[in-house]
Amino acid sequence: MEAKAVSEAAWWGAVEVPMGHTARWRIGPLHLSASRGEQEWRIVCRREKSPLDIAMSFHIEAGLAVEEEGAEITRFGFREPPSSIRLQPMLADRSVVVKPDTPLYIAAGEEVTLFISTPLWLQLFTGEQKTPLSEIPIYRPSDTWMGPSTMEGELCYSGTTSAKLKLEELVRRPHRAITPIVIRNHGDDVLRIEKLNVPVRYLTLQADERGTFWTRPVLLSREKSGEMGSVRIQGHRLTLPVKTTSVAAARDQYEESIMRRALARFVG
Amino acid sequence: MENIWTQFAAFITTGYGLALLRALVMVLLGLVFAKLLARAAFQVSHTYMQLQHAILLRRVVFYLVIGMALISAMRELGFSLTVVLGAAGILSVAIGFASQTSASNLISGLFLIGEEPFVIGDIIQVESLTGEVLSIDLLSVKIRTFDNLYVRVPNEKLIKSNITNLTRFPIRRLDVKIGVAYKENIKQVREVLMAVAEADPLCLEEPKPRILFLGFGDSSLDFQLSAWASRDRFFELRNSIPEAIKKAFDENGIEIPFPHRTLYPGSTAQPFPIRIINETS
Repeated sequence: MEAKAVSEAAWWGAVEVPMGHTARWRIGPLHLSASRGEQEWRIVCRREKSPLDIAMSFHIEAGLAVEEEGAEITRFGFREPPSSIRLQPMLADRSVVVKPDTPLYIAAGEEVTLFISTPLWLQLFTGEQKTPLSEIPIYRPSDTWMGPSTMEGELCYSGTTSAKLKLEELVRRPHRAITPIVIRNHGDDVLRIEKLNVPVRYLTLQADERGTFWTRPVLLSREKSGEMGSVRIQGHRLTLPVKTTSVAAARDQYEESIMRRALARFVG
Repeated sequence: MENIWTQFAAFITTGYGLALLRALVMVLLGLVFAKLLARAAFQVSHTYMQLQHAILLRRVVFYLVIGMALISAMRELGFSLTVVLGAAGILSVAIGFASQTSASNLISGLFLIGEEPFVIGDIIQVESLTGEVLSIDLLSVKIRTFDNLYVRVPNEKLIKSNITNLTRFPIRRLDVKIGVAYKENIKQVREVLMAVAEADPLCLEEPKPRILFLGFGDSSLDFQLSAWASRDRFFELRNSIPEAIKKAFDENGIEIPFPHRTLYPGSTAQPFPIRIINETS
């Protein structure tokens, strides 16, 4: 059995798996196994209860993965299964709602930056295929609803960590992505922030040299009228505090018309 | 046989025979054209409008083209349209009396299509009937029940009844009523129920789950756990949460009691006679 501790920078990407062998990853709360059989790839995944687990490991062992209690097994049939499997990190497939430690008040004309982290999803590719075999969350967050009423709004994921005013207070985890959120209050009164809807579907995923994942900053702007808000994602003058390379494109293309919705969709 | 063909050929070559042939061709061409045009109208319209509106448009286009083909065919055969319309006017009064229900269903159908209390694919409840809407037609709505039965509901009945659309909004609340024994600690019961709701990823964090104390029942303290779920996963939560509640109650030693009855003979009545049975006898 070939085993090694996995550095933050190395846990994703392509690995070669010999026939009849299994590649096993431990990525935070996720236990992932990928077995290469004679005419199949077999994927087994199981999760720990804590979403903030930071254990990381990787090894390849002889034999195919078998059924485990509490695990999900998926088998993909191939005439000749490709020899490699690639893990591609992605941002969540829905918006994520995060909250500051305590409700935050932004005075009229002021601007604050909050730092949040959101869980990553994994797309699995074999060989040179362009279409993923499967997509799985490293940790499946709870569902939540964000909107002005129960009739109108958006189904989101609930963030498992709080939004922080200082980047140093945010614990870096190799399986989560950091997003700076800039909130500007152009209104005439105080803006109360109890929760934020982060539209991660429109963000690109990037990684720094240490392997920490980032997204572009998001600007939430409350306009002078106080009612409508704008959300800007791309082309914002703020840059990330580190040098990054692109890892994954956004799931959806950002359009100004889509983003100019009532602020109640993004801030509560 | 040869004689019949000869007579047929002679008839076709007469003026009336040719007109009949032309009328038949018009009707057949009209049928083909109506189908093609109706299909094209549906393909174009259903991306811009609701499915039932697109289906209605398809039917209107079809019958309009067929109607025009029939009118052309009748004119070809020499019928005067004014006479036909006059006769239709008289007939319609008679037909109107005979078909009041159908007319009512038709008008109710138009109102249903315009008002849109539900669309095709929605799950609705009408009186005791619950099922998926398969089609919204001019006279009736077709519903498939969950046990796979096909039900035709007249539009007139739907217009007059309360319709509950179970899938109109994207999220839905689940209410689970639970009774616990009188000896249990109310605060502990609330904490256990809230922990069950928070542990289930299908249960929405917002709107927050609520624990309501319903009252001091005959045999138990009655609570209600109200939790929200997305419309698509509602039944999954409905099945998983009672199991999780029972498991959590068992782990925390919280009793779900059977109904209790206390018998009291009254102060003036004789006490109940009791006979003790010796197990060894």
